[in-house]
Amino acid sequence: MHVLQRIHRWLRPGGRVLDIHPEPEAASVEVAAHGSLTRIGPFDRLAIYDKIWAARTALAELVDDGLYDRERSISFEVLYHFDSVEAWLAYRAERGSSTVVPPELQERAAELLAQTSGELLIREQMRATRYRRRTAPPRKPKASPQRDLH
Amino acid sequence: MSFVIELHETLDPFTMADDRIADVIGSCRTASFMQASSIREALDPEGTETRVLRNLVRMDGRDVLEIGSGNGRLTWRYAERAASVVGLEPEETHVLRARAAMPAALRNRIDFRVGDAASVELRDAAFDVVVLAWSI
Repeated sequence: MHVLQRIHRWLRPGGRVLDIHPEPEAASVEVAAHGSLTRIGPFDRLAIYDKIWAARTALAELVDDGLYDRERSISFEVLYHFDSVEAWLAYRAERGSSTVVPPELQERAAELLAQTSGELLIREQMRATRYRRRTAPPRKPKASPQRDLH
Repeated sequence: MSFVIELHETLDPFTMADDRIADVIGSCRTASFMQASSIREALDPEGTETRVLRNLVRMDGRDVLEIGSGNGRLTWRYAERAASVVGLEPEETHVLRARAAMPAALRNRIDFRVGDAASVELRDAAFDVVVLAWSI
């Protein structure tokens, strides 16, 4: 049983699921200093993109099966703030991040931080979606269900 | 900072958006909770995620389950509005950190537990809201 089916049992009738996750695209690494932003480069986290797509597929299937209604979605961006590249790497290690930050990206960021005494920013695109638990009997599965993955 | 809203909203007690004053008060309380618990969070000090969360779901008086609660980073931002919060996190070190950082005013409201959503046993129909924070 998928976790989302267990969640359906745990929810009261009419209850909501709020799903927040990163968009499957590269984050942007930037240095902010003296009122300006300098983009160092993209930071790709290919290891998580498959997980994100698998999660979206699972959610879409449960919507198709009639367990949830997809109600509303908001796209937004968040910023991570670090004083140094070391602080960024330590943060990632603490959270068990598996993607390796390319050495050249680390070096460019460290150089610019040293030159400017600026702040390292990681800009990430996010999506938050609200689903409503349906109480009606599940719909019959469609022959070719539409996958609302976007 | 971009902020794009798609789809229409359904007005019901979960999503009524006329709570700007409550948002400001909530933000102040959240800030004081975070200060009191000595949390230094690199992610989203601007509070964008908080505003999105409040825009999508009203937590007031709700029983909430947060899956992947980590060190409580997101939990602090809404818990004082909820009736109760169960924070489920498979990594014990994160749970211990969250418990240690918990503001005293929230101790009777939040229960951080070590557990995996795929195997944990929870009561049916126990929650109004389930938050999946970067956890599927």
